[in-house]
Amino acid sequence: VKRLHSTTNDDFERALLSSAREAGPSPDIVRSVATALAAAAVTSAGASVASAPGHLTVTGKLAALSTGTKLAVVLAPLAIAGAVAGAFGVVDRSSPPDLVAAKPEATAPRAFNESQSPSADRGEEHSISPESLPVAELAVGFAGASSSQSAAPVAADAAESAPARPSAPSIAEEVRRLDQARSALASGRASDAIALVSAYERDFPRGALAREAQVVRIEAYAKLGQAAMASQLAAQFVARYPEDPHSPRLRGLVLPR
Amino acid sequence: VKLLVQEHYRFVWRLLRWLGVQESELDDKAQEVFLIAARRLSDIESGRERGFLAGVATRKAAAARRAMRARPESVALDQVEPAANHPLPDAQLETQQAQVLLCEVLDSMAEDLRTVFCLFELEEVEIPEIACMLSIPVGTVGSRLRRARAEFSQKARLVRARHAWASRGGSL
Repeated sequence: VKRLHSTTNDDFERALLSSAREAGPSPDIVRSVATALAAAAVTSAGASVASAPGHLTVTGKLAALSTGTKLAVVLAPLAIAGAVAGAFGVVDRSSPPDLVAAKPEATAPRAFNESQSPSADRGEEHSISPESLPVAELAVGFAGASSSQSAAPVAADAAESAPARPSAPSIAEEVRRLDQARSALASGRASDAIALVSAYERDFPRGALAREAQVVRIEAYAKLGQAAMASQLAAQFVARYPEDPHSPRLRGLVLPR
Repeated sequence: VKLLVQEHYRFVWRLLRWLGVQESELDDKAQEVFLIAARRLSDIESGRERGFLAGVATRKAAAARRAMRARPESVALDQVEPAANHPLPDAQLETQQAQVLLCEVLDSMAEDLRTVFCLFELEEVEIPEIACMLSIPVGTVGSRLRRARAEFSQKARLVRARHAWASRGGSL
């Protein structure tokens, strides 16, 4: 069967149908959602580590480890303690994985307190201290492998009851706020854009879109004619995130000394 | 999951849009779809990811439309700018305008027809896969598609007529 687009004789219909081809989400958002949800997946993998018997436990753990960051180590015990929402909290505030990896002790308990997840109280390991996190993860791993009976009900129950929703508005709110800054910049209100970025950073100190926010700020300074400021910030950004897709463009803003 | 998002985010986002989710809510809703998928990752058979996502997206979109109907003030129609009054600066805007009109046409279609129409005509999913996604027989997809095309043509004429009328300043 052929598509209407190629068979219709009506120009108006064809125009409507072909306009659909142009529509799509912005690549930036796809990237940030992918990052946020990848961590979420590790969380659910963590939950299944405890609920699945024998060999599945091993694969689950391998999968978690193969993501290559300490994120997995941080998230797994959180999930098992029933704080799926808490784990999302971590994700929302700490998108650049290198930062999380550098300071897991700082982010994990923070998310725990902030998540206000109703199930956090019920989780049997809600008193996890920062130092005990990796140990707890190992312990659960062993529990899953040797006596899945004991660990499974906790994790299954936790996974069922933990509301994952609180995180969604949070990241959506971040996206909305950054979009405001972007459109301010796009419509020539560069100083508004800088103010909006600063407000965003104040409200989301570990924002998932922190890098994007910084890019907006740098471009805003450049647009304002504050080349020295733009150059300095661009140099910092490029040095810190050389692999970031924005970096090649920002290098162009760095002034020669 | 990262792969899942990278491969299918665009599909889900577009599908939600064609199924009537407001542009301002698209990214929220798309994230919610993937959030659900992420939690049920182990239930999804490999190779059927897109079908699963389409199912979730369809239900989300239906819920979003119900919520929108509950709020009477709708922004969508105000965004339709009469074309003749403003010579369009570039093709980009024209495309955007056609998209708004397209959504208007889709909005006026019956829900089951709209879903099949969007999947087949706009997302270019093949009929057997649609049947699988919606858990309906292939024959039903075919007949819905025929009816959907007829309805689309009819509504498109209506929208065009209304649009032409509006662009002449609302007087005949």
